[in-house]
Amino acid sequence: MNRYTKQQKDKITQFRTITGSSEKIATDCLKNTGWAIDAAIDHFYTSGLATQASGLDLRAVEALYQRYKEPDDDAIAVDGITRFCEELEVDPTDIAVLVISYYMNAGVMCEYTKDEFTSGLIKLGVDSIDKLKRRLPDLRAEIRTDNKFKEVYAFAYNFSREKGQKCVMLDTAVAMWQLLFSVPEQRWPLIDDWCEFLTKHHNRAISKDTWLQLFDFIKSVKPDFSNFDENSAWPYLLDEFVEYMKNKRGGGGQ
Amino acid sequence: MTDRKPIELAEGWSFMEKGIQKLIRLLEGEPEDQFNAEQYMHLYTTIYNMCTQKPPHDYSEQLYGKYREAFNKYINDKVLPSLREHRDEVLLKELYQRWGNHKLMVRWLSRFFNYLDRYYVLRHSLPPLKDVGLLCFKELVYLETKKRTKDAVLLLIEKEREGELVDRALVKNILGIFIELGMTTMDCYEKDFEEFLLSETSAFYRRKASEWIEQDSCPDYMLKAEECLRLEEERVENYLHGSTKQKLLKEVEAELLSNYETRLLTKEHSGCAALLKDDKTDDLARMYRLFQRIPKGLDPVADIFKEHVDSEGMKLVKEVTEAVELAKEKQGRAGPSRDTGSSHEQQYVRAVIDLHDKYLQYVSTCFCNSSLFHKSLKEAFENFVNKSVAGSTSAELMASFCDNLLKKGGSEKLSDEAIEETLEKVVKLLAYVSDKDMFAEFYRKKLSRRLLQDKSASDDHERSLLSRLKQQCGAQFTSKMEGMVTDLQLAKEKQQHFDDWLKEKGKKLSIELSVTVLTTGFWPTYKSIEVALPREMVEGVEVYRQYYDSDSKHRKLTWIYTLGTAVVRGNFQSRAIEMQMNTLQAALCMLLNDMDELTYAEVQERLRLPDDDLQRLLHSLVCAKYKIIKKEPESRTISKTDKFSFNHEFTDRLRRIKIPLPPLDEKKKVMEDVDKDRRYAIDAAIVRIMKSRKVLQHQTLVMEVIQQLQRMFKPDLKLIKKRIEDLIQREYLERDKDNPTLFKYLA
Repeated sequence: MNRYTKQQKDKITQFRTITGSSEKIATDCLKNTGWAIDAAIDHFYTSGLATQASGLDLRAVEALYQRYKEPDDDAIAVDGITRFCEELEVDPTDIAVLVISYYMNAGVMCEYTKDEFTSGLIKLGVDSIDKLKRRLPDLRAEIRTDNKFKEVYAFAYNFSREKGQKCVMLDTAVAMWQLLFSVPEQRWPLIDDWCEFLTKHHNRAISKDTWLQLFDFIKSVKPDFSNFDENSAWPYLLDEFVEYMKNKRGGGGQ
Repeated sequence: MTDRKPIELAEGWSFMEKGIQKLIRLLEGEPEDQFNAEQYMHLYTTIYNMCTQKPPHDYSEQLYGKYREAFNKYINDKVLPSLREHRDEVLLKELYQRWGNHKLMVRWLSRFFNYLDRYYVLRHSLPPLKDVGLLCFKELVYLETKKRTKDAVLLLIEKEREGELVDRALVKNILGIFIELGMTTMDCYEKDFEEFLLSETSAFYRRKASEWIEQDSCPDYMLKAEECLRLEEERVENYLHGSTKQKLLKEVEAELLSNYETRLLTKEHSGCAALLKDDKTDDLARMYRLFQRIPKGLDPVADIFKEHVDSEGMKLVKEVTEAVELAKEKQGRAGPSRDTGSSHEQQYVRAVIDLHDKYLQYVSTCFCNSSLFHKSLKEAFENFVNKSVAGSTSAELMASFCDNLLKKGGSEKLSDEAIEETLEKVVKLLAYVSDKDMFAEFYRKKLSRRLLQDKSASDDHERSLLSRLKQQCGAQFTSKMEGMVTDLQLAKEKQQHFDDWLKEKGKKLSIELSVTVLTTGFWPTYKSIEVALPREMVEGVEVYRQYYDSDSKHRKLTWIYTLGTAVVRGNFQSRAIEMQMNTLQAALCMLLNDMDELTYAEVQERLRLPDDDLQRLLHSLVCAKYKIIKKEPESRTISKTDKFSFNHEFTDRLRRIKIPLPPLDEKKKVMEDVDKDRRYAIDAAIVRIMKSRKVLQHQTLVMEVIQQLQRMFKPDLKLIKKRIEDLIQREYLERDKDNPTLFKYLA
């Protein structure tokens, strides 16, 4: 321990806090990845060290995967996911499922690959349905925090795309927004106006830029739009939304 | 020398005193002989001796003092009392006289006492004798009389301003005193006279101005103001000191012009706007001259000028819009806009040209070519020229106007010179149009029609207009058009080649075929209609294709039959008539060679044309001026249940007729093309800018884009934003993670 610099010691402490691993494992991982914390954490999870560290039963996780996966395909599809949610006693449209998908870093909705499923469970620190069930309240609480919400929000875009598509279809986007902004503490009062505006006037897919910028918009612009600058770099869809709202509220005034 | 007995002070001085008294008598005009040389020498020598004697008999110091006293005594005894008696002009005369005398006295006495100047004064750094003399006058006479003198002078000046004649020389001389007494500075003149002059002048003109502004019209006021300024200048030249000029004129300008500028300019019926309306160029020129003198004086005038020109322009726009609306109503057609060749719209362009000429003239004559007024003219034109006129843009109207000038049988019959002049003026107007690319596109469309249908009146004029456009808007603007003109020239050569090739290969065609090959990039895009041609034409097409492939490899020919013409001979009952018509019309006619009668469906099946094109064709041959095809049932429109047959009875007194096919409305297509091009241009500009700058703020990027494109058009801010987002989507750019208003270029 004496041989390490202050920075390195900090990184070790950070690593241990996140992963709950021992000092030796922490140091090893970090050394392996050249003291890059993110890479080290990744390595920790993917190399199975996590399971050793946290005492998770890797085989149990595998068994779970086998339980839900499609018979003739190496992935969990809609049926499997439905069963998964049933056994968790949670609605598939529950926000918690989104958070779980986030941990899995799932590529698309309605499908989990083996890697996604297993690494997700490991990250969550569970190896059985019961344990996961007990984690659900935590997940629901976690997403209320600003940081986590932002990450899940950003993740939700790619997740909501159809397989092979670049953009998210309007109805999917609307549904996802409704879901996300129903989280207490992250509610957005104008969500309904926004969805109405889009269905009436836009009627096309939503670009990633618009999705991401909407988050900034909600956080920074006041509800009366008094601090909205239309000459700034907001996507034009947001400019039009503001105009739409102003017209709706005040009969076309500035 | 050493033996001479020194002269005692009292003795020496009493001798000098006699000389001084003699001088005084001379000055007072009493009968007295002038000094002769001997007397002068004697006086001088006395002083000399008394100064060069050995101490204690060197009396330099005392003599210096007595010299001064001599003046003081005289002044107190004679000069001051006399001056105290007088006032006003008389005072001035007297004062001048006394001053003259005094100067004489100084001259003479300083000659007598000259030796003091040589050594005593220098050694002790004292004021020289001349200065001492002047100072005596200044301290005694000047100080006492300066106020009365100044008042007297100002009184004279006021009299002169009110129109009386005064003794100018006297005033000049008196002011000379002020100046001389200032010695090395102008203090006396400035503090004791000029200051008061300036404030009196202000007061005087303030009074006058407040009267005149109420009673007089703007031009009259300006005449008076100009005259006053002229007179004041003259005054300075005549008797005031040159340094006063600027200050004096400034006072006058302030009172007459600055204070009342707004009131003057906005006077109803006679202010600036009224003068412009009534074309009062002299008054306007005067206005320019006057207000040029005061700081920022011309700005309001330029503004009124700009407003006036703008409103004149807007009037024209309104007039023509109303006229066109009226005409439309009269004809009862509320259909889509037609070709803007109507006389109203042509007149509008003419009127705008004339308006421009008129006010350009104003700027160069009345307003001395001032850049401020050029700017006002430019801004006014830029404003109204870009307003839409009867549903069309000025760009389109100007393109039509040029087309009219350049085509055969255009409505304007002008001499070559007149045409060149007019073209030059149109190009100048183009500088004000912000959508230059729109003009380019319309012009290109019309140019192609002129070139392909051989309707161009003069090749020289075409080329000259292109070179003017090139000069004004850059080579990129005209490169395509020049390509078009070149194509046509080459086409002639190619045709010759083709004919030679035919002869060489021993091929013969059943029809005379001439082909014009166009380079795709230069010409406007044309819809290529797939039509089934009669076999004679098909043969021609095939043979040409062979020729072309043998001549140039790797090129693809696309045939645009809609642009072609054909001459068809109709063997009518009474006589054969040659008809010039469109290739498609000809194809239709040829169908009736094989069959006597065809239904609509059959025609469509054979020609393979869509409904709207087919109906247009049929209409032109059946229901238009020359009815060479009969229709059953007879009616004014084509319906799908009609039957068509050759109209044997058709005849016309001419042997050759033209059967035109009415052109499609190009306007919508042109606007679409221009919009598309603009989107590409904006994209290209954004990528270009980001590639070189790598990282840029949103605002800066937008501004750069606008600047790069402004030569061709004014990009819409919303459009730029949309294009930026599109480029983000296509991963050319990305937003910075921490600062979403910052964009980064993605290589």
